[in-house]
Amino acid sequence: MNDRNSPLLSVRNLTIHYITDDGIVRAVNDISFDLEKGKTLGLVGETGAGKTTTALGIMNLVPDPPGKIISGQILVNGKDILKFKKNELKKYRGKVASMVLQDPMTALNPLITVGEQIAEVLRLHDKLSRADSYIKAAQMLELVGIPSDRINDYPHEFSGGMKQRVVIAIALACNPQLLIADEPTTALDVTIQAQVLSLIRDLIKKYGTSMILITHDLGVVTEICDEVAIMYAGQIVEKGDLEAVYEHTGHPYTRGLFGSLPSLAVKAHRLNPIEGLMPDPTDLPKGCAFHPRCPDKMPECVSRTPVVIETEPGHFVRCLLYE
Amino acid sequence: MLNYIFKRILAAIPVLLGVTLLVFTMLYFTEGDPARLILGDTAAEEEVEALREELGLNESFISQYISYLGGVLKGDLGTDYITGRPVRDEIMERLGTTLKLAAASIIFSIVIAIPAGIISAVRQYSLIDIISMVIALLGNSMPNFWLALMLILFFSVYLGVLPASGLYGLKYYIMPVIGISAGAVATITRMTRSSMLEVIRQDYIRMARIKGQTEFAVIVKHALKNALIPVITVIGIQFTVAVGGAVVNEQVFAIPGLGKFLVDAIKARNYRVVQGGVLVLAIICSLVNLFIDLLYAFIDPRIKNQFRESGKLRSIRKAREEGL
Amino acid sequence: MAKKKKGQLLQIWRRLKKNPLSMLGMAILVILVLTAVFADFIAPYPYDLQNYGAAKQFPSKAHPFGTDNYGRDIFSRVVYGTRVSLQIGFISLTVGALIGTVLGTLSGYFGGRTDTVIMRFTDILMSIPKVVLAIAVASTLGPGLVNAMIAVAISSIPSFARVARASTLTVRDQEYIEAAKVIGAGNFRIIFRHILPNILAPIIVQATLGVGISIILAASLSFLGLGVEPPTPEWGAMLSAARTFIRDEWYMVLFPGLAIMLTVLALNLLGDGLRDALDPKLKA
Repeated sequence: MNDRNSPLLSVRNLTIHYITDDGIVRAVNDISFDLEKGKTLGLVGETGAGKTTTALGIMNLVPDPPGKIISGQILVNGKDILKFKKNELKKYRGKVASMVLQDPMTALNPLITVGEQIAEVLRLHDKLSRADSYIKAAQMLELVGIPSDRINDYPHEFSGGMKQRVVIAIALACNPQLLIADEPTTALDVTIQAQVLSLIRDLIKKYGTSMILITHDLGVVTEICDEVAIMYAGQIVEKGDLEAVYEHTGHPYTRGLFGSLPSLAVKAHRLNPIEGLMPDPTDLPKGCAFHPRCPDKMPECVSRTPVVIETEPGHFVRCLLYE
Repeated sequence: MLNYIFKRILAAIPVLLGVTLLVFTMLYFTEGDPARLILGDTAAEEEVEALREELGLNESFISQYISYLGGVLKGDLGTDYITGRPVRDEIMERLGTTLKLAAASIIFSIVIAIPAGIISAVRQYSLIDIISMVIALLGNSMPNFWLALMLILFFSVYLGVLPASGLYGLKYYIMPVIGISAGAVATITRMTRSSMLEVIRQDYIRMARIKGQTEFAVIVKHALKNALIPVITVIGIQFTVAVGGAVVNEQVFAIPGLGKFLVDAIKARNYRVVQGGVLVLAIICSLVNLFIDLLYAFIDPRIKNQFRESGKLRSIRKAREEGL
Repeated sequence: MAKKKKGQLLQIWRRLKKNPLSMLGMAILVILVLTAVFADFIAPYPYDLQNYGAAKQFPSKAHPFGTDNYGRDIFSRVVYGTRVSLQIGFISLTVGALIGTVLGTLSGYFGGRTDTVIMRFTDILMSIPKVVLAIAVASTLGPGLVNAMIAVAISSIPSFARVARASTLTVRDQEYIEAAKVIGAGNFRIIFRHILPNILAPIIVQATLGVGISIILAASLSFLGLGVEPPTPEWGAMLSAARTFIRDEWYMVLFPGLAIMLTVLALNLLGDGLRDALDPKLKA
C-alpha cells in the first residue's frame, strides 16, 4: 500500500487543550513527529508534560469534554485518524493501534474474566467464533507468561504484574501495527518492572510492532527504544536517534534530565535535579516554556518562542541556543 | 461463596432477634394497662388483675419477652383483643396488599430510574439529564402522601379518570404506586447517574474503547454492571422505604392493607396488633436486604474476598450513605 | 492549624458561592427561618382564629391561601407551620445526629466487639421502615410535638452512625492519629480533638439532607394522626385535616404541601451544593 519510506505514524502540528472551569489547560502544543514501521519511540517527560494526552490523541480517545483537539493531523498509514468516522475508528482502535495503560489495577474490568476481556477484542476484529476466540485468548495468555488454565479467573485474582501481562495480551491480541505503552511499568514493583519490560520488547520484536513507549525513565528508553523524544510543557523539545540525543544532548532540559539520573550522575557524586517545577499548563510562560528553569537562559528566551532546529541529520532541538 | 452466604445469613439472625426485642420493649413500655384496656373502664379491679395474671403481664420483663419470642418462633403473634382473632391471621390477610404495593413501586422505580440514570450519565448536561435531575430533586423533596393527594386532585377530581380509593384492579395501582415510588425513583436515578459517571471515568472503560468496542457495548457490557453494584444496595434500602410509603399511602387511598391496619391499631391502642405488624414488616425488610446482599455473591466475583478491595468497599458505603 | 481551618472554610464557602442552585436553596432557607422567627408579624391572623362565617373561602386578597373548614386563615397557619416544622426538623435531627455520630465514631474508632454491637443495633433500626419505626415510637410515647421529635430523632440515628463510622475508618489510621497516640493522647482526646473535626464534612452534608427527611417524616406522622395534634399548625396535620375536602376545597391541600416541598427542596439544594463544595472529587 505505502512505499517503504513513508512512516506508519505521522503526527503533524498536534495541539490539544482541556477546557476546564479553572482555565484552558494547554496539554499538547504543536507537536510533530514520525514513527517508522518496526521502530520504537521513547516519549520522555515529567508528569504533566502531555505524554498521555498525546497518546490518547493518537487513539482518538481524548475525553471530550473537556478535551479538544484544537488543530493538527495524526496520519496513520497516510490517513488522518482524527477525521475517521465511527466505523472507521472501530476498525482502527484495537486492530491498527492499541494501547497499554499505566495502572493495571484499574485497566481490567473487575466483573469480566480475563479470558473474555482478551477474547472480546479478538471477536471484534478477527471475526472469530466464541469458541475460537477463547482458544486464541488462551494462547495469548501463554504468550505473556500466564498459564492458560487461568482463563476463567477474574482480575482480582491476579497480582499487579500479572494484570499488566493480561493488558499486554489484550493490546497485542489482534497484532496491531502500533502499540502505545503508557508508562507500562510505573505502577509495578521494581522487581517485576524488568520482566514486564522485556516481555514487551520480546513481543514487539517478534511481531514487528511499532511502539511508542511513554516513560519518565531515561534508563528504560536505552533498553527498548530506537528513537527518543523529550516532552516539556506540551512540546517536544528534543528528538532524535537514541545515540544523537544521549551523546550530543542539545536541549538544556534534556541535559537536566540526564543530570538527575542516578546511574549517569555517579561520576558527579551527586544528583543535579532541575531547579523549580513544571509550569502551570493553564498559564504557560511566554517565550520558551522552559526559560524560568533554564540554566542557559538568554534575554530573548523570555520573549521569543523557539522553533525546531535540526542540529544534525535526524536530531531536532527546540531551543534558541541553536537558532 | 457458600461461606459468604452462610456468614451473611448467620449475621442476619441477631438482627432479627434484635427486632423482636426492640418491638417488644417499645410496646412493653407503652402507657396504659392492656388488661384495663381490654376490659374497659367499667371493669372491676379484681377482674383486671385476673386478666393481667392470665396474660402473663405480672411476670418479669425477661420472662415475658421469652414467652413472646417463643410464640413468635412458632408463628404465634398473640390475640387481637378487640376482635379476639389471632393477630397472625389478621396480618396475613392484609400483608399481601401492602407487599404488592411496595413491590409494584420498587419495580416501577427500577424501570424508570435506572434507564433515566444511565441516559443522564451518558449524556451529562444534556436536556434529558437536566430534566431527570430536576424531577429527581422534586421527587426527593415531596412528602409521598402529598404527591398522592395532588395526583388524586388531578386524576380523580379534575380529570375523573382514576379511582381515588381502594385497590380492586390495575387502574387502582397507578396513583398509589407513583406516590410511593417518587422518593425511590429520585434516589435510584441519582445513584445510577453518579455511579455511572464514576464508572465511565475508569481505566477499564478506556480500555474497552481502545479495543475498538462500540459506544453502546462499552456502556452496556463494560459500564452498566459495574455501575449497578452500588445501585443494588440502594434498591434494597428503597424497598424498606417503599414499605413505609405503602403504610402511609394506604391511609391516603383507603386501601385495606397492613399499614392502615397498623395505624388504626395504634389509635385503638391495640398493642398486640402493633407489635405483630411492626415485627412482620421489619422481618420482611430484613429478608429483602439479606437477599440483596446474597445477590452480590452472584454478581460480583470479588465478593469471595469479602469486600476486601477498598474501592468497592467505598462505593458500597457511599451507596448506603446516599440511600439513607 | 487554626489558620488553615479558616482557610478551608473560606475555600468551601467560595466553592459553594459558585453554585447558583445552592445559593438559591440557602436564600429560601434564610427566608423560611426569618418567617419562622417573625411569624407573629408576618401572619395576618392568629393561627387558631376561627371564623365560621368565613369558612372554606377561596384564596383572595384577604386570605391569600384561602380559609379552612373552621374559617382559619390558611396563609397564617402555613406561616406558623414554618416555625413548627423547622423546629421539629432541626431539633430532632440535631439530637439524632449527635447520638448517631457518637455511636458511629466509637464504632469506627474502637472496632471489634464495640463495632459489631453498634452496627447490629443500627441494622436493627434500619430494617424497620423509618415511618413504621416512628409510628411504633410515637405509639409508645403517645402523640404530641415532643414525642414526634423523639420518634423522628431515633429514626435518624442509624444514617449518622453509618456515615460517622465510615468516615472514622478512613481517618483512624492516618498518621496524625498515630502521632497523637505516640505522644500519649487518650482515646477520648483523640476522638474529640482529632477524629470528630476531621469527619465533620460528611456529617454536615448528611445533616443538611437529613433535616429535610426529618421534616417529611414528622409531617407523615402528623398526617397519620400520630404526631403533632391540632390545633397546632403543623403542615402534615393540616394536610390530614384538609384531605376530606379535596374534592371542592383543593387549596386546603395545596399550600401546606407546597410549603413542605419548598423547605425540603431548599435543604436538598443546599445539601447537594455542600457535598460538592466539601469534596470536589465527588462532584459528578
